[in-house]
Amino acid sequence: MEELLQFEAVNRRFGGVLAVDGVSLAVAPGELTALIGPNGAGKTTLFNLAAGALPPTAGQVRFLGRPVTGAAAVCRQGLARTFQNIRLFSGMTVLENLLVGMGGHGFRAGSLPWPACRRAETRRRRQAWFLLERFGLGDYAERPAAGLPFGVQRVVEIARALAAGPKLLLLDEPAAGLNRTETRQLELLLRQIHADGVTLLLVEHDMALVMSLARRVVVLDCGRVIADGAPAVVRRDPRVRTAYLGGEAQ
Amino acid sequence: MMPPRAPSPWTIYRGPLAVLVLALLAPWLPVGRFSYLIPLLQLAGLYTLLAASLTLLLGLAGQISLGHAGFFAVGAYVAGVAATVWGWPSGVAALAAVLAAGLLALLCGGMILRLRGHLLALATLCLGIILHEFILKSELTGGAAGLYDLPEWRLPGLLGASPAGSFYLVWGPAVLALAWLAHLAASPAGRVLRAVRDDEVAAAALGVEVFRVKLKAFVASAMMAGVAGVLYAFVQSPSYLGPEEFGLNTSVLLLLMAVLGGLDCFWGGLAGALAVLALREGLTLAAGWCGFSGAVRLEQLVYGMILILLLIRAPKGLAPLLARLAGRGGSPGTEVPSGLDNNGVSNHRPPPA
Repeated sequence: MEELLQFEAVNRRFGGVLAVDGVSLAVAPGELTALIGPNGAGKTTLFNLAAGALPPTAGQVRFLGRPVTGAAAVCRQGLARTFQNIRLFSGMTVLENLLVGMGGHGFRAGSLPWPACRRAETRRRRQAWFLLERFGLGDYAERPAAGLPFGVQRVVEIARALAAGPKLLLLDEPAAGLNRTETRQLELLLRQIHADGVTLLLVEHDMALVMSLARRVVVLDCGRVIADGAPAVVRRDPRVRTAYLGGEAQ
Repeated sequence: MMPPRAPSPWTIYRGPLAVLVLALLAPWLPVGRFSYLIPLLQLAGLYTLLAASLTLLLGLAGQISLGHAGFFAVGAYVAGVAATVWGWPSGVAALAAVLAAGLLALLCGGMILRLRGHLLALATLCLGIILHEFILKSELTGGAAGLYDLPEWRLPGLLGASPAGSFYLVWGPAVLALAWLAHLAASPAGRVLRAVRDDEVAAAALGVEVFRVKLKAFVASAMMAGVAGVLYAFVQSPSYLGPEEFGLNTSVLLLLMAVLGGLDCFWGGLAGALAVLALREGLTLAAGWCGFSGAVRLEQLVYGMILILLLIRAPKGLAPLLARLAGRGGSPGTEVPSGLDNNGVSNHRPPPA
């Protein structure tokens, strides 16, 4: 099967630091992959490279076989993401947040009151609403995003990413700051999204979540991939244990 | 439950419609000996258009311009020079002027819109200063002496002879601009602008071409200012077009009107323009009555103090304040409740999937 996302010997340097060091990695459609590693291993940098937010210093990142050139372009090809520190549009309602990813950006499509634009807008609203309802966020639709509880903001951000209609969803520490119940619900939600045919790649520190959710775990340390395989295999890998200093890999 | 409907045309356009009705009635007000108020209101229309261009740029797209008097000047001077020096028909000159303002914004915006915050403020400030200096020094524009005897636009027929003959020509575009802002606030295009304003990184991650969106907003805003320039040249002050109106003061005044009026409401520019002009005029009158209109210019001091107080008391602007006083919303989709309602929210957990 053709790879969805592909890193080909990717380097990314920040000044004197090589944050990502020769990473070659491929994500196939339908995978549910977790990217783990100690702090500073380069996980978020790798995410930003994949999402087109950063250009690689060397090597190439491909999405659907085409080189990733920019965040907006790769999103329109079918890659959506969430952020480690939630980045909702604070001046907008939850519904509007979702609608941003649903098109109508063009001058002709959205800036003048044509009837066709109104119809397209009604259609977009209905889609966004269904997404919100499915995630149990219907009550929040008309609320400003800024004041929502943290856990709700997390789910809204995931819903917003899905509103862009992605084939691949990148989740940067989706469970950070959530309590045990919320994390459990997040896991169910992510399973459901995956079952709907969206490929998932997540960075996560919550090992319990990673081990129960992911089908494949990639371990990053000092910008390099040190292990890649099924959760049970990776968990026993001595290099992984060393990377975590015999720590949390349970 | 049903999805919340998109605001109906009536909810979007009733505000601009009300402004239209008021603008249609205004020149017929029985003002008696205060007949100078009608030209002053006409000037308010011009400033409304200019402030609305900044509401679009700063309020919706979140990009500041401290040089908008420059685009105002380009509109006025390209129209003026084309009509008087080159002898173009005034309609063609006007069209060329608006396009010139847009083109200039496209070229300059392409260079400076990658800057953010105070850097963008400084870059636009410089742009405004350069344009003003050019007008002051150029032979073409008549330099400090300015241009005389521009073609004067008035409505045809009986209306043309009344004060409404020029009044409507200024307020027509102003009301159109307000209606467009009201539409944008509730439309996908406006939503994208606000997304860019709130978080450029997140907007880009959702497929928004951030730079292109900013550039479009900049060009549209400059063209609105260009229209205002044309109206200034051919309607407001056709006998004489001089450089005094287009300096840094005007750029700052426009920004003041937009911010004072309220950046989150389509009629913020209107509220700001009316408030500033009324304040200035009222204080001059009051100073005259109190008999200290001489060299001291005490009213300038009071003017500044009142503006500062207003900005402290109503940092979100007059429009939302007035809308709240009137007990109803300003415009759908533009108002963001600032107070948080935590009823039933604090205990919320993410939904069972």
